[in-house]
Amino acid sequence: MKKLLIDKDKCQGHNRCAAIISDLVDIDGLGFASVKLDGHFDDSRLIDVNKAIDNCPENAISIFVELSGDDNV
Amino acid sequence: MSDINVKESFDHFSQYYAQNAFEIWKKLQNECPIASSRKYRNMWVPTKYSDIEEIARDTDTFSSRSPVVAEFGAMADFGLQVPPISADPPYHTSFRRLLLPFFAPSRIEALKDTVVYLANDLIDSFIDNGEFDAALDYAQHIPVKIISEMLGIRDEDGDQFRMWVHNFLELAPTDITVAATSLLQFFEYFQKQIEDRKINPKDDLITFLINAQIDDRLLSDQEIFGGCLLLLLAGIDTTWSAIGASIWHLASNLEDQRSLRNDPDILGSAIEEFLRAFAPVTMAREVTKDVDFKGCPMKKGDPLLLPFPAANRDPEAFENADKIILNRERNRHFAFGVGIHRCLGSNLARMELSVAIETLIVRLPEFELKNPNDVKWSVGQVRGPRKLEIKFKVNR
Ligand code: HEM
Ligand code: SF4
Repeated sequence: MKKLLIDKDKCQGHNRCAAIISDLVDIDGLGFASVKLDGHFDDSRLIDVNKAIDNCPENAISIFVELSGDDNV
Repeated sequence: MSDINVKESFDHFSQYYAQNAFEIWKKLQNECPIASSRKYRNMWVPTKYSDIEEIARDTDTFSSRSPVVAEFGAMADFGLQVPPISADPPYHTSFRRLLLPFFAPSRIEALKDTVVYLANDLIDSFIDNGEFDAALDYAQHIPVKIISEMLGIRDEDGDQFRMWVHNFLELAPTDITVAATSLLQFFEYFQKQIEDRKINPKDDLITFLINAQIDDRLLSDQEIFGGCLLLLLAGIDTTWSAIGASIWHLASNLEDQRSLRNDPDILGSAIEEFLRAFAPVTMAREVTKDVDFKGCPMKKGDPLLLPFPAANRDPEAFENADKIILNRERNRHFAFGVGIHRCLGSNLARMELSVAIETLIVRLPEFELKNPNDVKWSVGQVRGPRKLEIKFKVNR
């Protein structure tokens, strides 16, 4: 399973991610981003997640790949 | 290109720079990535994306105390502070946090209808003429109106502001008399507003600042004035320039104008691309200690320009950096800066820019430049068209 990560220390609230993956991020009252729920997302969202990564000027977004038992890696 | 030496005599207030900025950055990136200038008290001018990012993030070595490089001295030496843009941590952090809620996406969304209404109203005034000046009749009015509303000041004062801001950003840095007069005018105006709010509080930003606290103390009048002044300086010419430059591109590249008309879904990425390619804002820093930065012997007190627009056209950071690609996929541009001073108004600016462009495209038929050789660009640290005559066919 893939998980979205947002580094709170790096995020400066450019809100580029919110425009691209609004279903996966929350923006707080000050404009800073955090991942919705536990951050897990479906592979169908991978293109957009990568796009958000490529458009965050602070390099604050990344993907964490969890290795579960049935993953054949 | 003429033989003006941009490597050692860089001049951001010259007409030469205003007309040839793209070529100048390119030349410097290739031949001399950090230029300098004695005319501006030993100023340094990095032009590469990676150097600009490194400097913007190193707030210990590069202070924000003088965000504008004037000929005659550092802004801070004249006692002028416009927090948070002229502040360093930790004070910067506290002041910025005060303002953040006013510019969060939810707050800005609520202002959208006003911008839509205004844009349509402006278009109504010239749609039957077949021509208009996109800088003077359209772009410049949008940011003034919104910032006046946020500060709680009368619309009628908008023309005043535009003039003061223009004087302050374009004329003052090379003319100390203009600097002093425009500052005085701002000060007298806001002093009255602040006095007035103390007696008649309103639901606006000035009243909010009067009651706001940093570290358990109220703000001084000087701080309130500085904050208000900054919102005018940072919010007006910048957005005006971004809207104007985007219209300039669409009017001179009909291919792109058609793409945007045919596929409105690309508006979002097109706006980011316009911001990247025509980023209006260059900021400045002051070196806090003697350092050797990439071979440049920087001295404590030296001013340093931070041309985010140059970073945005660095071929090492962007594929086909010179080309405008409306659906560019990878776009970590620095139009709004990078790091802790990242533009506080970026959500507002994006909204104003999107509405301004979308409304124009929807309401007007294909439009083009009236005379491509007669477009005037501003000088200084905010770059955008100041004369931009457009023509289109009138449907009767
Ligand atoms: C397209 C329009 C705009 C552009 C390109 C722009 C660009 C920038 C840039 C590059 C910075 C970084 C300054 C630095 O690194 O020293 C900045 C900061 C700032 N901008 Fe904007 N800006 C725009 C519109 C606005 C608007 C509409 C407002 C508010 C009304 C605004 C308010 C501010 C403030 C308050 C800061 C200082 C933030 C801080 O120091 O923490 N800007 N802007
Ligand atoms: S784009 Fe990056 S910096 Fe901006 S809000 Fe998202 S995570 Fe934060």
